[in-house]
Amino acid sequence: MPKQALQNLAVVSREFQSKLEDASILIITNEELARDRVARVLLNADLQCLEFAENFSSASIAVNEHIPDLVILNTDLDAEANLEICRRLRSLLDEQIPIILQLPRDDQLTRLKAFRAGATEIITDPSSEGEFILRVKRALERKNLVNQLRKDQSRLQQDLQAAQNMQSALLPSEKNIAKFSEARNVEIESFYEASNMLGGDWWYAAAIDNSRLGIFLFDLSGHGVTAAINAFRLQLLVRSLKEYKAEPGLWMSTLNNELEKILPAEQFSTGFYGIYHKRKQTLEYVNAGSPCPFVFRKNGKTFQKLDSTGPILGCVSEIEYEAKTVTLKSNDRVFLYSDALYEDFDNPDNSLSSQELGEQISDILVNQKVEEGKFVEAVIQRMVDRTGKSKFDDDLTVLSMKVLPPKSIQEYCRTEAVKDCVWIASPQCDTISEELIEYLYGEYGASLHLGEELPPGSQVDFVITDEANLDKLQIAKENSTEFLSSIVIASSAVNQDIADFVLPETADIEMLKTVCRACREISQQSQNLRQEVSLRKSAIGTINNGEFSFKTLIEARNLSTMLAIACPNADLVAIGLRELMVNAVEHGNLEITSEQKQKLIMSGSWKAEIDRRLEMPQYVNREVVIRYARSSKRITFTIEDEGAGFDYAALDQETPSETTYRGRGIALAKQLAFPDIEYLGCGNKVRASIDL
Amino acid sequence: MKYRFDVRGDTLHVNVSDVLTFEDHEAFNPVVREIENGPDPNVIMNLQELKMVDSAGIGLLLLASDRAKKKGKSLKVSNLTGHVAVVAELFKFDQLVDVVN
Repeated sequence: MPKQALQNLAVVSREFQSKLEDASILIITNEELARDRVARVLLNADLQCLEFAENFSSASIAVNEHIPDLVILNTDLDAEANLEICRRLRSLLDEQIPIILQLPRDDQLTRLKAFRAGATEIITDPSSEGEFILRVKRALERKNLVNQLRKDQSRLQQDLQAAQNMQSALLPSEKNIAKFSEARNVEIESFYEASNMLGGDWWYAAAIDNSRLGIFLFDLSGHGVTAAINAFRLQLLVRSLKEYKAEPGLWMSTLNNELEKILPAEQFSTGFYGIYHKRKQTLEYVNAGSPCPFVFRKNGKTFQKLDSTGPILGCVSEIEYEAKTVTLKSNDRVFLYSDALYEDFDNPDNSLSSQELGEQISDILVNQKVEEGKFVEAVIQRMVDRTGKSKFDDDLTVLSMKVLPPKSIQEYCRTEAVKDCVWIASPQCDTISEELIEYLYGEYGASLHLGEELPPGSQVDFVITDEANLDKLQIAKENSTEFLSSIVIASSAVNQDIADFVLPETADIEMLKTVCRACREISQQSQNLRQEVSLRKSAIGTINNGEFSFKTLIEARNLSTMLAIACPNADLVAIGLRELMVNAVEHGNLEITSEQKQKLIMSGSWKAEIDRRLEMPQYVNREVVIRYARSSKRITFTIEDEGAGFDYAALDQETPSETTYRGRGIALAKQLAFPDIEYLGCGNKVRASIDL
Repeated sequence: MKYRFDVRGDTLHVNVSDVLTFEDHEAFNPVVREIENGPDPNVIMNLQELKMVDSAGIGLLLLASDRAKKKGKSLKVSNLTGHVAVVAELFKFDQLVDVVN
């Protein structure tokens, strides 16, 4: 036996020894002489916690007050009377508490009755003191061992329970499933159950982009703790493999190489990765040994098997996995599962082939009236009925994805209040095509509302309207969140500053998508900034004067959150400050005009142009300097860039000006944070103050 | 799971029968040991009488193949039938070990 194991045994043995000495022993006897003799023998053996009772009545009082570790029953009553006391005592005590019964004679029938009455040990007179002590100690040791075992089992159970909760948390939440499904117009049902608390199955869903949804299903070999630990390792890998996510074949090959590095020879995983493309209505998939998934078509009347396109994962590296594509139609179902669904190891002949399984499921779809959302449940019930076993042999995962018929435009018209609403306020506008609506639905899901009326109680995040419905802009503003973005589709005659973006009626779908993405980014950046400020803590509030310089938009963003912490309403100040600082970089140092910025955003090249200009010789050394001054009454920020300035006299202090972007930034800064904004010099310096 | 060794010439034939599953990990150890330590340079795992195999059972066959490879031996798996053949096809087993029928 290894040295460490021997040391551990010695520790356990010492613990038991000390527990034996502490054991409380209840001695029931009506004989004074017997009581003294038993007590003396026990005391000599270092068993010192003794209690005494004369009969069952006083014994039951003693038991109620304190549960003993062991009971010795030794009266001069006849055997039947002793057995009756023993029976009644056993009804009061946990079965693990030993009762040692001393009997005057040894006959087999009485011994049998005694054990049935609950005795743990029987000692018949005459017996030696040595045998008596040995039996008492053995009984106590057994009890301690059982106790220890129970404790260990309970701790293990708790550990397993905690691990099971952790594993469940790795599966997509119902909320996420609903979000993915809604936006891609599919219905996803799932079932997962480990065969023994922990399992080696894992499934996952992730948005690839606006129109595509990735679905993963893995089954690690074996089951129990080893498979579960491998499932944890696998999910870390899957989440970290961002590259090639849109190319299932390459992605699976990369995953296989990574798994091959960490899994021993006898462990592997099956895997399926499919990308559902809503617009093209296709499923591009790669199947590394997953039990052949099905596509049920024509409401289940026919089905197609998606055979393996490569070997199981983690065994051999540098395998090229082939991706295949199938087309899907409305009401088609993709069905994935792990092997426990059809395999029966207790009765191998009862296992189903993939063809038989497909036919069984097909039968459910065609002949069984299944409530909406209960299809997977019906499949599992069918398998349980078939085998007569409610517990599956292995971990079981079942997934179904049904392609829903396209929504009609009317379905996007909401009647209940919409939170974070993306409002298409002019549904009749020709420029706003069905493709754009589908695109926005993919981005925003249930937040998209299409209609001239805004449901009461809605909060608008983003509004798109046309020249004929300009009044909707005002309604959106009155019902907006703090960061309303707006697009107006109009002829060139319309004032360009009425919205964040004014686009011509001829704007194509790609331009519209790009501008919508820009609107979303602006809103998300502002919200992220608020969250960042709320998390930060800084000593800046104790500084009275400071000067900082920056060049890039990222530096502007970081500095704005740091400085804002010194101010009341720090999150709003951060946004206002960032607007002014971004103006100084973009329009000041990099000399990008508002018109140029609008064009850059529409062509999707705004960020690239910023980066390009930051490297240009005439701009590369330019810095923005921000000075911070704090007095007891106010905080003042002065921001100075190295640009040529601008005609701030033309800037309307109340509303955004002709210079849309610069004006918008200033207006936002004023509205959110700084009641007092002043331009100085040639317009390259701005002073913003907050009263304390 | 049951197994039987049969040496013919310089080839160790291992006949595996019944079902090979998660529960057979211990029982399979002597097979792996014999493949590793036996004198025969060639090994054929005959699965003719194997009725069923689960993922852990496939893992054991992969383990045997890995150990043989590490000892510079040739290991072939032969006579896959019924459920075992279906699983092997699903897992593309022939791309991982030498399969002969």
